[in-house]
Amino acid sequence: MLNTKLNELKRMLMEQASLVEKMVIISMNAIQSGYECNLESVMRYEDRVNRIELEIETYCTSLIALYQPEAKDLRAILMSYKINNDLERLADQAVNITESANAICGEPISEQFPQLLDMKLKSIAMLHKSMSAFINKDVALARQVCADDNEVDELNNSIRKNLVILMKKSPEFINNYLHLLRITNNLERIADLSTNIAENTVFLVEGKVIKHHVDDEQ
Amino acid sequence: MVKAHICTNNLNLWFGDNHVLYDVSMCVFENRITAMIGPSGCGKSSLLRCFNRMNDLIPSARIQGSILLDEEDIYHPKARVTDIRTRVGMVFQKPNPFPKSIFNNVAFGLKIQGKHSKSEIMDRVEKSLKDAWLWDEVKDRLHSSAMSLSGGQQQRLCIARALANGPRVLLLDEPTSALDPQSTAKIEELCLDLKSKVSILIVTHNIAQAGRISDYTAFMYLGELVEFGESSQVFTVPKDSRTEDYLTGVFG
Repeated sequence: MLNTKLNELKRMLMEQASLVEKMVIISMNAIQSGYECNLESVMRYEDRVNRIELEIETYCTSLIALYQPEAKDLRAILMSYKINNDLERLADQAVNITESANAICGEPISEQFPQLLDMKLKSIAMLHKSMSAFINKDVALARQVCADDNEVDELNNSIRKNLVILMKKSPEFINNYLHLLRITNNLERIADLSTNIAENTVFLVEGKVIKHHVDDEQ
Repeated sequence: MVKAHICTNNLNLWFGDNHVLYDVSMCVFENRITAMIGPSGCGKSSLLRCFNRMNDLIPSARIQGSILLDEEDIYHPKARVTDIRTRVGMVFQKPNPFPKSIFNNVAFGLKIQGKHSKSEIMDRVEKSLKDAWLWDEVKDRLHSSAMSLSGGQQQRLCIARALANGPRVLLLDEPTSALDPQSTAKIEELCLDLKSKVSILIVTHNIAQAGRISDYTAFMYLGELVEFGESSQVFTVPKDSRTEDYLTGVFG
């Protein structure tokens, strides 16, 4: 009985995740040469994401009230609720990236940062992998996402250091550099939120809390 | 669009001087499950029994208001009670098979109607037992006594007996309260399966059961219909504080 409903919940989250992934890809493509600067579609996707977020929230609340789930069913609903929230936040990060990408669209600035492409690919891959891990209850993949987060943090730090140097050297471009800083910070948040999804997946499958490195202490 | 199937309009019921239902207006929708919940003595079963005129059997019962089944008043002086009970089947709390064979329990209603051929009765019995998910368990012993079945099987037999008459509405009065959890789960799943064929009104003391299987929920208190709405709404954000209190165990 509840199983059918949980499958529907999973379907809704998959739809939401695919929209968010599209938003991140379109927004990031805009700062690379050869892509269009038209970013209206990201905003249209955001409206849909907000609507689906509310639908998933209501659905989760109803499932708890009507079915009084226990054990893994309860964990599935609670984690879906949290992941739903993370996905909505991810869409917000994509919108932030879009705003800054719009400001520097067509400028050759991103070409000065070869790490940016790497950071973009890694963040998007983390988002994709974390949702695959959740949908397929793949704990090994989820743990890998958590490990990947460090690489994105390092790339972010490295880009930030370069930006500070460039800001001092060419203050006339400071506006562009600030937008780029905002983009990388948001990419770093995308990696963090993907890590949240992965940590919640581990809790869903194994019932273990791994966030804040709680399991290291035990 | 959901269609109202059977509706009460300002229904009042008295047993002698005792006023037990106050201006109840609600509908059971077609091919949906409606659950009635509320504390003991709130009038759930009395209301349920109005839907197929079972209260007629109580001499002191008096009714005011109307109940429309497919827009026909079932309390109209010219309405035939047997016809109404054919269209509105009922299953009770305690399984109550007749002390007859499994076959004859299901065939009973059809036989007394006296308008069906033997082969037609055979077919209807088989179909009803299949619809009640009992056929595979009893097909080799249709002529054994119904009393030899387990409690859960007896209850599904009672459902098959009601289905044999081709009802449009099925009334279930706490159908699982005398059953073990496994038999209960089977009856619940059966209800979900049956709703494509009949509209179901179920009285239950088990709030979780109402949540699991019903599309609509009616909450009754002291003979009054306090709240009626989609179960997803009644169970998450009830409109009346009494419903909220009952669902959260403050009373009842």
